[in-house]
Amino acid sequence: MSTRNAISAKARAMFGERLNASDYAALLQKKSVGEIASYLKNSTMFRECLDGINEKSIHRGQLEVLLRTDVFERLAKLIRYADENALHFATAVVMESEIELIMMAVRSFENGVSHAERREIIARMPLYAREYTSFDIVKLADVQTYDELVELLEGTVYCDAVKRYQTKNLQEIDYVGLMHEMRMRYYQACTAAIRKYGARNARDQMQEIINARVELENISIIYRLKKYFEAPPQQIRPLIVQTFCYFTPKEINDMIDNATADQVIDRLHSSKYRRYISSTKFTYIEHYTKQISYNMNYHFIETNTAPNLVLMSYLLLSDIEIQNVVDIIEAVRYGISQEHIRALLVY
Amino acid sequence: MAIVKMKFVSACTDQEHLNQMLLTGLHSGMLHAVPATNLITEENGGQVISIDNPYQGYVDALKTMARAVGAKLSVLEHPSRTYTASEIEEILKKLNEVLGLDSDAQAQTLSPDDEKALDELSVCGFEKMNACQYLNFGFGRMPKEGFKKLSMYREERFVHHRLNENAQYVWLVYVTSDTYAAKTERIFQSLFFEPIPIPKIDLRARLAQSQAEMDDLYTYCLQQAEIYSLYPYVIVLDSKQVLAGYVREEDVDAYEAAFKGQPVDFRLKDPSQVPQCKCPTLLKNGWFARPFELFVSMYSLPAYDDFDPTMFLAITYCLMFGIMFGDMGQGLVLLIIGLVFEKKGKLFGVIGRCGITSTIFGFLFGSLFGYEDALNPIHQKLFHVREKLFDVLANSNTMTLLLGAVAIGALLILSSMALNIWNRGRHKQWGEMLFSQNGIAGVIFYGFVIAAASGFILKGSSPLLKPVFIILFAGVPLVCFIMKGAFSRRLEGKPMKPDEGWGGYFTENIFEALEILLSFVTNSMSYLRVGGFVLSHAGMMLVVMTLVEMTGKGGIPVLIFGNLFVMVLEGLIVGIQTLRLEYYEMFSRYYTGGGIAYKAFAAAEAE
Repeated sequence: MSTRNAISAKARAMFGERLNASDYAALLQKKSVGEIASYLKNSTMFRECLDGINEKSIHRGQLEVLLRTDVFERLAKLIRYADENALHFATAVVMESEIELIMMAVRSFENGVSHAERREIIARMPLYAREYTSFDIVKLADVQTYDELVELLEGTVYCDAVKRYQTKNLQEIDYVGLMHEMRMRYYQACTAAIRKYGARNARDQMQEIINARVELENISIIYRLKKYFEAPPQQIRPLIVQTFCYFTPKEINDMIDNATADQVIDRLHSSKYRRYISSTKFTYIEHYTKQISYNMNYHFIETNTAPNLVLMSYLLLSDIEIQNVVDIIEAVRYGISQEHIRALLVY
Repeated sequence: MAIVKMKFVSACTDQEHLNQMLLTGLHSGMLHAVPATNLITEENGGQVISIDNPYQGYVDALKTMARAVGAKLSVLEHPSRTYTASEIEEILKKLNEVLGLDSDAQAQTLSPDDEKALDELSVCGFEKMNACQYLNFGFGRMPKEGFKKLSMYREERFVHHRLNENAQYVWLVYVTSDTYAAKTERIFQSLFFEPIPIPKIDLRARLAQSQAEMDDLYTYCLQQAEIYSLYPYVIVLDSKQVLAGYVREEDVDAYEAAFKGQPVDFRLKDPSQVPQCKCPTLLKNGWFARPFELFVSMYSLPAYDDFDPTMFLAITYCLMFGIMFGDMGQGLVLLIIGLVFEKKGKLFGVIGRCGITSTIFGFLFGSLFGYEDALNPIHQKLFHVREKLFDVLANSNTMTLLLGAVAIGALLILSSMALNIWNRGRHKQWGEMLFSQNGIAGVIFYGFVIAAASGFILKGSSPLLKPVFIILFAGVPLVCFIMKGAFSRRLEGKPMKPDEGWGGYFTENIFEALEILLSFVTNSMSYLRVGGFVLSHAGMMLVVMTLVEMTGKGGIPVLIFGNLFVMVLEGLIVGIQTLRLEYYEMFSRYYTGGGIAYKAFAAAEAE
C-alpha cells in the first residue's frame, strides 16, 4: 500500500471515530458546557486534545478553539505525508479564518478601533495555524487604520479587493460587496489548488464538491434575500458567485428573476441535489445546505480512495461535526430545547 | 535445612500497665502475635477487649489537614506530653482555623497543577499581596493559545509572570494598578483566563508556626492508635491482660528482657501444647540454599512440624539448570551477576548459585561463550580424551544425552519418593508410606521398571523380566496401589470394607491405578526436556557463532550481543522449566506445605 493510499485509509479511519448518534444523544442531555467538555474528553476521539482541561471551568469559546485546533492538527499531520498539493487544503482552511479576521478589522474601522473589537480580533486569531497564513495575523492586532490594513495585506490575494472597496468615509464601505469579493477569492484559491492535482477523476470530483458548496451558498443568499428582504433581482445578482454545479446559469438566473423563496426550496428539492437530501422536513436553509454538503462528502469518503479527495471530504465533514458541537454548546448556553437543537444537527 | 524452633509466649499484666506492655511487645520486633479470638476457649473463659479506636480518626484528620495544606507530618521519637480527647479536638479546631481550612479560598478544589502554581506564587506572600492598596493581582490558568496572544497587549499596563504549565494551560499571575484593573480583567477574560482566588493567608508562614505542634500531636495519636490496634490480640482472663504469640526459641530471653521493669509475668509453652493455633514457620538455611526459600514460599511454606525441602530443591534446581545452561563463560557471568547483586533480592542469589553449576557443566561440555573447542586442550590434558570430554553437538551423543536426562529424572523421582517415605514415617502415616504410588510400593514398582528397561536398553535383554519378578515387583505393588485405602484403614484399626462398598471402590481405584502407571511414564518423559535444552542451548550458540563468522570485523559486538541474548532468553526459559520440574514432578510427590509465615509485629503493620 503506498503512502498516499495509507493517508486515505487513515483519514477514513479517523472519520470512523466521529461522533455518532448515541454521542449526540448523550451530549444533548448535558446541562452545562463543563458536562459537554467532560463527555467529549472521556468518551470521544477528542480525548487527546482535551486531556488536561479543567472541565468545571472551561469557557465555551476555549472549547471550540480546542476542537478546531484538533481538527486542524489532524489535517496538518495527514498532509505532512501527502503530496505537496495537499498543503493547499491547509491554506484553504486558514483562508476562511483570514477572511473572517480581515472583515472584523474592516468593521472595526467604522468608528475607530475600540478595545472590545481589538480583543475580539485577537481572541479569534488561529495562532495554531500561523505557519500557513498568507500574512502575519499577529500584526492585525496593531492595525488601527484602513491604510495600515492594506499595507499589511500587500502581496496577498486579498489586497486588491480590500483596496478596491476603500472609501474616504469609512462608514460608507460596502461590506456585503467586500465579503462577496472575498468569497470569490477563496473559491478561486480552492479551484487553483484542485487544478494542480494530477488524477483527473478525483480532480473533477473535488471540483464538484467546491462548486456545489458555492452553488448552495448562492441558493442560500437567493432564498434569504427573497424571504426576509423581498430583494429585487438586480440586488441579488451581484452577490452571486458565477460558479455552477447541478444548476445551469439559466436556471439560477430564472430562480433569481421568477421564483419565490418557497419555490427556491422546491427547485432545490427537485434538482440533482435531492439524492443528498435525507430529511423531508425543511427547517432553515443553512441546515438544508449543510445536510446536502454532509451527505455528498460522506458519499465521496465512502466510495473513493484518491487521497486528496478523501482528505477534502474528511475536512468538510469534520467542520460540520465541530459545528454540531458548537450548536449544542450554544443551545445549553441559551436554554434551547433538546428537540429544537436535535433538528439542527447533521450527522 | 531446618525450620526455626519456636516457643509460645504469654505475657500477662494488669489493666494499668496494658498499654506499656503492648508498646513493648510491638516494638520488640520478636513477637508473632496471635489474635485473642484464636486462643479463647470455653475452658479458659477469656474475653476480648471491645473498644473503638478514636485515635485512628484523629490520625486521619491530621493527615487530611496536612495533605490539604501541603505539609509533611513527621513522627517524633516520643510525644512531649499526653493529650486528652477534648484537648486533641480543640487543637484540631484551632489548626483548622489557623491554616484557613474553613475559608472559601481553600474550599475550592485545586488540581495538583493549581497547587504547584500556587506554591510558586507563595514566595511573594499571600498576605502581603492581599494587603496591597493600589496594586491589583490576578492569579489563574489560561489556555496556551491565549497565553501566546498576551504579547499582543504589550502596550497595556499590566505585567504577568508564568508560574506553571501543562499540555493545555499556563498558570500565571498578573499585576496591574487599580485604575487598569477592569480593563486588564476584560483582556484576560477574552483570552479565556480562569481566575483562581489568591488565598487570604500565608500558608507557608503559618505552617512553619504550627508544624511542631502538629508533629507532636500526630506522634501521640499515632502511638495511641497503634496501641488500640493491638487490642484484638489481648485476652482478658479474670482481671489479667494477656498478650500471646510465638517467639523464636533463641529470642525468648531477649524478649523477656525487653519488658524489664514492668510488672509482666511470662508463661512459656511448646507449640505442640497449643493445638488450637497454627505455629508460624521460619526457614533457616545456609548460604547455598537460602535464596531458594523464595521458590519454597512461592509454592507454600512447610508446616511448623514438617520438614524444610529447601536444600533438596536447591541442589536439584542447580543441577538441572547447570546441565541445561552448560556454558562455562555464561555460567561465570551468571555467578558474578548473582554475587554482585545478591543483596538486591533472592532471585539474584538463585542466579549466582545456578552460575556455579552452569560453569561446572560448561567446563565438562567444553563450551566457553559458544566456543566449543576453546577448552579442548585442557580436556585432553585432564581427561586424556582425543578431543573433548562430551561433545553435545555430536550426532552420536544425542541419544546418550536424552537417555541420560531420563535417567537423571528417574533418579530424582526415586529420591522424591524416598523423601516422601521418610516424611510419612515421621508423621506415622503408615498407609501412605507403604502402599501409595510415592511410598514403598511405588519405589519398588518404579525401580523395577527402570531397572528392567535399563537392562533392555544396555544389553538387549533383562534378567528381571521373569514371571516371578514381574509378579513380585510389579504385580504386588499394583495391588497395593489399588488396595491402599482399604489397607490404610486396616492399619488404623478400622474395618477394611470401604463406606461406598467394594464395587465402587474397585472401579474407582483400578482407574486410579491405571492413571498412576501412566503418570510414571509421563513424569519420566518430562525430564527429556533437560536433554532437549542442552541441545537447544548449544544450537542457539551455534547460530551466534555462525553470525560472528559472517560479520567478520564486526564479530565482537555480535558475539557479545548474541551471548547476552542467549543468556537472557535461555536463562529465563531454563529457569522456568526447571521450576516446573521441581513443582510438578518432585514437590507433588513428597511435599504438601500449608504453613504460615512467621511475621514479627512491627509498628508500621499495626497501623
